[in-house]
Amino acid sequence: MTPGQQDLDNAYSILLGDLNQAYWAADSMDVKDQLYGIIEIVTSLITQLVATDLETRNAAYDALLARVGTVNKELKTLQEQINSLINRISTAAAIVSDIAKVLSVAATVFPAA
Amino acid sequence: MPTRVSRGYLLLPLMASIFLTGCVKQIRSTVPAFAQAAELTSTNVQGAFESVNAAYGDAQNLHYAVTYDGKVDPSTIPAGWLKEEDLNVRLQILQGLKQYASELNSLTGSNDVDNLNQASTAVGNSLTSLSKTAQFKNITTKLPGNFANEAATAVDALGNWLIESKLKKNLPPLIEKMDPNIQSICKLLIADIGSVNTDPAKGPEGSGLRQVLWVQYNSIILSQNQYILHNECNGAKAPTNCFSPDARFAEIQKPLALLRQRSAADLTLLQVQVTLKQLAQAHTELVKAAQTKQRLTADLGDLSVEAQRLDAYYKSLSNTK
Repeated sequence: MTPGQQDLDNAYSILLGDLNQAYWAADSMDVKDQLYGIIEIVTSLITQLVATDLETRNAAYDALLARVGTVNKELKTLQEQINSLINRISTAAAIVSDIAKVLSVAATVFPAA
Repeated sequence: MPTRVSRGYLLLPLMASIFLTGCVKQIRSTVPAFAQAAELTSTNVQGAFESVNAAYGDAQNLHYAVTYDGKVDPSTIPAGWLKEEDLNVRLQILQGLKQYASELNSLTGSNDVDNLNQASTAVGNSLTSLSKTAQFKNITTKLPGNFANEAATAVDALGNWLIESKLKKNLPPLIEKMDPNIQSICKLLIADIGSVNTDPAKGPEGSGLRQVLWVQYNSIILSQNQYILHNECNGAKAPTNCFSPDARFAEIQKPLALLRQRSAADLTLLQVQVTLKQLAQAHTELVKAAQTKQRLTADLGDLSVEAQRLDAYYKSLSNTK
């Protein structure tokens, strides 16, 4: 079955859960700031995703499409940096895998993002 | 002199009349009990939405304060968790259910029929226009299957039911006719509230209002934590006016209070779902009671218990601030 809007919501939510854990486990203020920034944009994206009907392809859809593209670029950067940011190996590995899942589902739901 | 057969014919209408009077009495004693429980339910669900919204509004003000950088116009911050127009859609649907309950009550013998008719017509008109608004469509379009149309039809039907004059009509068929619509409206509100995984070890997977509320509270809690960490008096980066020990202690209490508030708000929404499910079930039982001429005391008792529990939940929200 092709992944849909709810699958993308789930993928971002699982990532949000692991980012949250990484935030509380982080030792330095700089890392906390960086993770907090990502958590903020993922939270806002989930909120937008819940409120938008992808079927209608209206202005809200276009705004969400643009937002997914921007957020996913930041996630790709985080995916490369995460091992150097946090010491908890299992959480870092989970975040790498969560981001891979998000990018893959988003590519199906928003092919243009 | 009447024969045995003709006496039977004479007795038949009399017996039927006694039987029907008994049935009508039965349904007329059950309906007010249902109407009172349904009215209490709708009132408490409205109160729950307003209470969760107001509590979130306070949390949002705190978020504004701790992330203040002078670049966000405070007049652009929503007063609560839902925009006013989005909250109003839900409150109007609940007002429709409440008015339906009042109508049922009046059909079983209220004196203030004119006032009630006026109120019902007003609520009915607002509901029939509501189902065509963009705000209403926002709630329904994301629901699975053909449910968007079903929900719009149900709200429209409730509106029309309230507008129609029903005083001379027979009550059981009126209740029966409305049952699918009451079921759809309860289903709509339950689906709109959605779900969320509240286990902190996992992500907040879910849907609808509960998920949005949960992730937004999480963001506010983290912003408060960021504020504390950035204003601590340790290291070279400490600000000049860093927290005194007392101020620091007071600030640390805030994310803890927000956690309690988030749980209370989520439990309130969960209880709204339980109560609406019970309302739908009690209405189905009311239809059965009208058909089988039995009482439905147990289901009404359950509905009243859930509605009162909801009342306790949303009122406890103000204690978590």
